[in-house]
Amino acid sequence: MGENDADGEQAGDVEDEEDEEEDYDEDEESDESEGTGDRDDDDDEDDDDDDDEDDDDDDDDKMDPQLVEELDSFARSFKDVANRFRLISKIGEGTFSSVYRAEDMEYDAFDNSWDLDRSPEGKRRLSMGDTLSPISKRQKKVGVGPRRKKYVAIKRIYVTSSPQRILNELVLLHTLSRCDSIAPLITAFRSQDQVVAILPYYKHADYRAFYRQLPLMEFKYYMKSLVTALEHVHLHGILHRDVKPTNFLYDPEKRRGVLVDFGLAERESVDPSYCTCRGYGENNHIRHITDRQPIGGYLKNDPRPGRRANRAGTRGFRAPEVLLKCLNQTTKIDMWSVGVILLSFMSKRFPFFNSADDIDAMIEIASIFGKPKISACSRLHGSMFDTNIPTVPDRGFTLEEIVDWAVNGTDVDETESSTRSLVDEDPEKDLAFDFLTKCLEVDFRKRISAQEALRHQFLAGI
Amino acid sequence: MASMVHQHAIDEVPTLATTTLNGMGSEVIERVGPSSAVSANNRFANPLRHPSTTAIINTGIIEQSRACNAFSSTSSASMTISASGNAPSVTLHGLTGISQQTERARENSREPRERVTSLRERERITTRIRDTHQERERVQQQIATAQNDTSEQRDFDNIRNWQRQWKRVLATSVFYFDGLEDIGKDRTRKQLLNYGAKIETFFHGGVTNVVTNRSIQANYPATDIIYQAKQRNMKIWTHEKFVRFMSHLQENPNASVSNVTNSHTSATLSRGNIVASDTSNNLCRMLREEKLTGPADSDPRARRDDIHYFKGPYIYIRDATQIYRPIMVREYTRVSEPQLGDWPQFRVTGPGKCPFVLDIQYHQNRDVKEVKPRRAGSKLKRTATVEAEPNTSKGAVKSRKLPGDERESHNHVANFLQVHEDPQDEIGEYITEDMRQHAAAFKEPHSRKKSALTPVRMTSARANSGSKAAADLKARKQALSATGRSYHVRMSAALGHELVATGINMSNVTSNIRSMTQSGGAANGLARQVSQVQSKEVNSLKRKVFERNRRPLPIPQVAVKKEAVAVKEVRPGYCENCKDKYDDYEEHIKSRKHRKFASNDENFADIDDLLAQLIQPKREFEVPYVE
Repeated sequence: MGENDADGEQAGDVEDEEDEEEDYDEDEESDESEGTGDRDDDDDEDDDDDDDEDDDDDDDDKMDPQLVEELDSFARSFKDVANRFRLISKIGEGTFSSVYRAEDMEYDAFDNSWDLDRSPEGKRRLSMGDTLSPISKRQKKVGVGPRRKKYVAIKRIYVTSSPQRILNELVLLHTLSRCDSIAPLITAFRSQDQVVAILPYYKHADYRAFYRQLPLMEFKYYMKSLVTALEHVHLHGILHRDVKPTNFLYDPEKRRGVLVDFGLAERESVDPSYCTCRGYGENNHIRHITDRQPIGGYLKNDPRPGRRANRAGTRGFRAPEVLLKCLNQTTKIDMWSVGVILLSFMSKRFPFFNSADDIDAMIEIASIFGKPKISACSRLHGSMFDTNIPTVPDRGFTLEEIVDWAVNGTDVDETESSTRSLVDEDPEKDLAFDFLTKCLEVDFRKRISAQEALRHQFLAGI
Repeated sequence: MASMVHQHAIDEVPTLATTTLNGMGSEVIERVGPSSAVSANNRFANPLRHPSTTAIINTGIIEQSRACNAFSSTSSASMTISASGNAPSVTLHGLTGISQQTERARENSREPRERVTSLRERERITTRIRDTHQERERVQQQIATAQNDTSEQRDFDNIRNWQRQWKRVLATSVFYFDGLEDIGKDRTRKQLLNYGAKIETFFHGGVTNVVTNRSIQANYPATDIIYQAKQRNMKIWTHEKFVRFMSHLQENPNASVSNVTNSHTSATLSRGNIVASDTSNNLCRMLREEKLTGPADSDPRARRDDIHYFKGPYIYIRDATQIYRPIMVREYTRVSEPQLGDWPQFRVTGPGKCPFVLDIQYHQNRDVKEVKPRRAGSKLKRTATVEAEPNTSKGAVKSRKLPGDERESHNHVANFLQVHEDPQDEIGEYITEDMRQHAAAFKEPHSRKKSALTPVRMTSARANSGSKAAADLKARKQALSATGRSYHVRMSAALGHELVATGINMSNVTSNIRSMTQSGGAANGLARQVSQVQSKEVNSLKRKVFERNRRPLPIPQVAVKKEAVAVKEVRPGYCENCKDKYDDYEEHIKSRKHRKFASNDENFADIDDLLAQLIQPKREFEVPYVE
């Protein structure tokens, strides 16, 4: 037993040089409770103030001395930033960066075309880096009262990150800036090894705070906004790799969200020679291979190298092909994550998958989709799936069954009727399940693309 | 000399029906560097290079048979032991694929056998008896095909290797197109970007490859780009060559050999000796395979000492190409009922709760209800769970204390739950969260609790002991996974809340703990993985040591408080720039090595180029915006 644990660990940890670092990230943001939670605490309190003088910013945070010291030292070490931005609080912490909320003291001196709030149509399209003040109120104050405070998010990238990694993120952000559902890069600075990216500060609600209350009809807007962002990302041949509620800052009131954190994003590879899933079916020699590897056991000291692939992402949101270390990962991995979010919404369970590690993740997925589907999926990526775990079914369940099971349990009569009715009586339910099933398709080739998803009845109607 | 070899090698790139890599020139391989030059040499040093030349084919057969022979006789010496106990027919059965082929190839090429083990002799006789004349002919044909395939296959491998190496090189290459401004229009350039290469709009010192339409040989003034490129030893390619290069790079050699491969596969299929077409014919692969599967003439069903056979439920995903070790393998303790299994299972949970984490509270409510169907509290309590918002409990918990003694079995959990049955009592929810896990693993709760705490203690204790701390952390992590793998993350979550419960608010600490407990490998998982192979035993040893070293934690809260403060200052990790593991981030970034890197602007030249584009423009009119 213990031996297998160790083995499992190894299997999970083996990455190629480039990917070892990704290993790091994968768990980095895996706990939903940290970053957003903090971010939200700030926001929720801000929500109520419509005033320009929301002086809450200094005292709304539990300013523990350590944080004060951290902010100070950051400001000291980076004069450019300190001169223009007033650091207010820390709103997130990841493996490669910390994110701070700051006031842009020189907002008016700069061209802020990034700020959709400034759009000259007179219509407020999206409130960014800003408190929620009604237009009228704002108009009154501009030029008259005290200057309206403008907020930004400062992403401080740890100096232990390689310039390549930093460049990658900045370039991708810069490339993708032209979409309302993606956080644009306002600007960025460097001081020796310290690089900071200045991004708009977005007001948003914690997913956990609304996913159980929001009706399906409302959640469609969440999905649509998310898929719109992904369509844009995918159109550029880029994989986000870390789609999850924490990285999608959604404002249920405005029905708008922005996709953030491209720290793990990468360009889709076009290399044709790698995973067997390329050209599978046409020219597939795997089928003819005699598997002479031991069956019913494994080699204790296996001298072979481990299969290596980029597995960056968050546990519970990784597509099967990522778990299987496919070398030909496509933008479809993001659509799987979209499916996981929707499944979590439909079932009112978050996180839906626990996936302490990739093996657990595989078992969890297999417990839903059953052996044949997972076997086929494994074969697609050049692996042979074998399990005798009794709770992994021979025939998979439909996602309706799964959601019903999750929501209603076995003792149907005594469960939360509210949750139940929400799923049962919603006329959109069938569409939603069809959409969900297409996102959570284990074969990435059959999985719905972002573009197709926007045309799907579930999202096309709104 | 070396470059001559390259030149030769590159000119002798195997010719496939549709692929000709000739004319790429020696410089192509030069860029790959000395290490790959050697491999390039090896790769192409293949006696079977010209399938059209019969003589070479014959030599090839002989070479290969000899090698096989030598190899088989050495390995069969040890392997006869396992195989000798079996009936001859079984032995024959175990003989598969390539060794059978080469065995026959040897016969056909009339190569005198030097060492014949009794096993092989027996096999040969049996084979001979069974083989009709007709069948023998077919075998010969098959060998001919196989040998053809071998050369095709190697050509295919060579090209693939060539492509792979170049792709690796391209990922770090910087291209400059001289006088070819239509970047983006050209498909090949898009490909180039996709391989990770960079295309510069302006010529500078960091460029590695220059593509031009002008003559490379001509003399240019010192200010000319080509002159400068030559001075800086950059690769200069003509555009035509570049296009040719890109098309070769993208060619799928597989496609051109697939027909032959398929016919070969079906031929072997018909014999019942199914052989992986692309793995069987390579001697090296064969050797590797034999290490994995035991010698080809051993009985695959015989028990082997070097294999761990599953006793309990398992998941086992292995690489079908057999090149890599299993992608996933894990075995669980056998249990009388599936529901008791330690693996992740889909279970009904309370709203908001992950269905793959046992929700003890939910199930206890159900159990209790089953015993006393009309228990009033149960419904109330569930409502409490339903309504409890994850965020709100934080504050509430603050004022409460965890029960002093946590060494209860999960019966105590039940008791505790009954104490806290008040629907408004959020700590009820919280404690349950924690307790649930205790009960979930059906193991002694205290030790697991400790193991969750241990990383904190460890870090502080070993803050100064170098990389050992990292190793220990790994051991600890594994101990964690041994005691409650699927729960440990929740454990640390619970731990985080306990910190809150004691009135200390340290988001950093919890995240540190988390990153330590969750990430694989040393400390943050960034570190290079060394020795994947035999660490299993080492790990289990470590684990044992660790388990023995565990001491009871009398008052968890206090312990956490103390150690947590220490942890704050220590953030271990891996520096991608220094390629070093560190125990303390703050300390590391002040180190000379790191400062040296940090102060060298060249390291950040690319970023600076981008930042120049990202400068936020100043506003044109300093007039407040009015709608």
